[in-house]
Amino acid sequence: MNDVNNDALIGKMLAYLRRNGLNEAEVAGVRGDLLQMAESADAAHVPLETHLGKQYRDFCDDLLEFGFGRPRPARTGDTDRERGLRFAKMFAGFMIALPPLILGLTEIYWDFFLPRFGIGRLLLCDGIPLLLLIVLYAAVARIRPVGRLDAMTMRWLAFGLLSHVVVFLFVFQNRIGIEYVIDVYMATIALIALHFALIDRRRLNVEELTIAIVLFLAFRFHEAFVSRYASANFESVIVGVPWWLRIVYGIIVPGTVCAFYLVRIVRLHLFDPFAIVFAGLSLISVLLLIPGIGQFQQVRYTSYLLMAFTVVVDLIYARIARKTDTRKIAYYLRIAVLVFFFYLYSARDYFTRNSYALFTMYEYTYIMIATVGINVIEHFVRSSSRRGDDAHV
Amino acid sequence: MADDSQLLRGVLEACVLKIIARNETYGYRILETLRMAGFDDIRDGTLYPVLVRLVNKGDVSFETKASPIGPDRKYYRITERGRHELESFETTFGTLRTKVNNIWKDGERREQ
Repeated sequence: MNDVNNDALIGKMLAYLRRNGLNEAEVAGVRGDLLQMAESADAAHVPLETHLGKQYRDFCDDLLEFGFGRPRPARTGDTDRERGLRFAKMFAGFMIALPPLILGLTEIYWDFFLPRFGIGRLLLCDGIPLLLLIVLYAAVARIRPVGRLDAMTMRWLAFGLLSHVVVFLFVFQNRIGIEYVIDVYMATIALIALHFALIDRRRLNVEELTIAIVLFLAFRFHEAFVSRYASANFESVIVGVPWWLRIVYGIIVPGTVCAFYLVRIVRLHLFDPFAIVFAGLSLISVLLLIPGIGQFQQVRYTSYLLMAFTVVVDLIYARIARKTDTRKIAYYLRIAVLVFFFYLYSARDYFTRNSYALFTMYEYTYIMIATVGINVIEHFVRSSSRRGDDAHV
Repeated sequence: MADDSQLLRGVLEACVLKIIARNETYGYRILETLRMAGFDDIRDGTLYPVLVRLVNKGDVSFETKASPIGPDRKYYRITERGRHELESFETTFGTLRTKVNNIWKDGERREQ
């Protein structure tokens, strides 16, 4: 029995080493040594990993880094424990989206039964998903042992819960008297900042944060502008400002998005489909301000088809790329979904004061959709990558 | 300071080289020698990357020989380059040890 297990484990180890840069001669050398170690382990009646004194991934990483001077591979997770942690991470990510959904449903359908706001509502709305999390985690732990929560999982849970607080403050801003402090942009910045602080400092989230801050400032300007000049109805009419100021103002949000992606394409040579699509769409948005060009506005709806197309293309590409490109693709998908959200928002009734009163629900629905989208896409990209990796084994 | 793996790693490499420098020897014997010296936690999984590193650097060479009681064994032997490395380590480590001792003694004097 041990022989079979050891053979399978050695196969995994060799595949892992090969995948992380060892050539065939080096792998052959290691293989001989591992077989010897497996015999020693058998003689001692212990599994190979016990004989090695560490899990096979740790052993291989040490061997790659210290023995062969190769870079230590990034951990993508393969063991049961890591699968469990990944599940917890995914679920914690969805926790950001789930509470607003529940809050929204309770807001609409259950207002009669629930306390209108305050601790009771918070406990009820947060308690249900939290309970779900605990039950699900316990169920997973029964199926396959996941060990104690490690620091990273705790961070994901903290991220989920703190993000929840941000979304809660955003949704109930009117009731607790913090209107225009926690608006959609501020909430997004807070979520990204939380992700940056708690989860991943190494990825390029600084860029996401920067674009969110820029758009936040634009939004603040927009708010002041509308309060001063817009008509108090649903028509997109701006009064009392010269036409050129209206055009300059209208350029700010789509212009920022366009510039952001054009810089990425031209200077960094990042020709990913999303960058091209968003640069093009935001450019169209800017051009729409030119009188007489409004009939081309329907072009925007084509973007939804393009989005689906590019997601499929990127997923296929992720399968092929398998390793280093996967993280990059996941990152671009994330930022693209985020900007897609901004784009949708900025494309709404842009110049009406009443839109603020009516679109609060839309805003947080967008946050929800964007967050779910980000997590789902990242999950599928990574799953796709793992299947590609496993094909080696 | 609970995680002493980085500190151990550098020292362990020199210790293994020193053991090999005494006699041509094989992995299990090196492990036994280390354990007898007090490195109780050292397992194959820790020693093996060190041996691979020493071989790849050219400090150590090996020859596979038949074992009377089991699979073939790799016998490791120090090279000329390895001897230079060992001398260099002994000099560097000796100086470092003196400096560290000075800090410790200085601390004890201040406490008194």
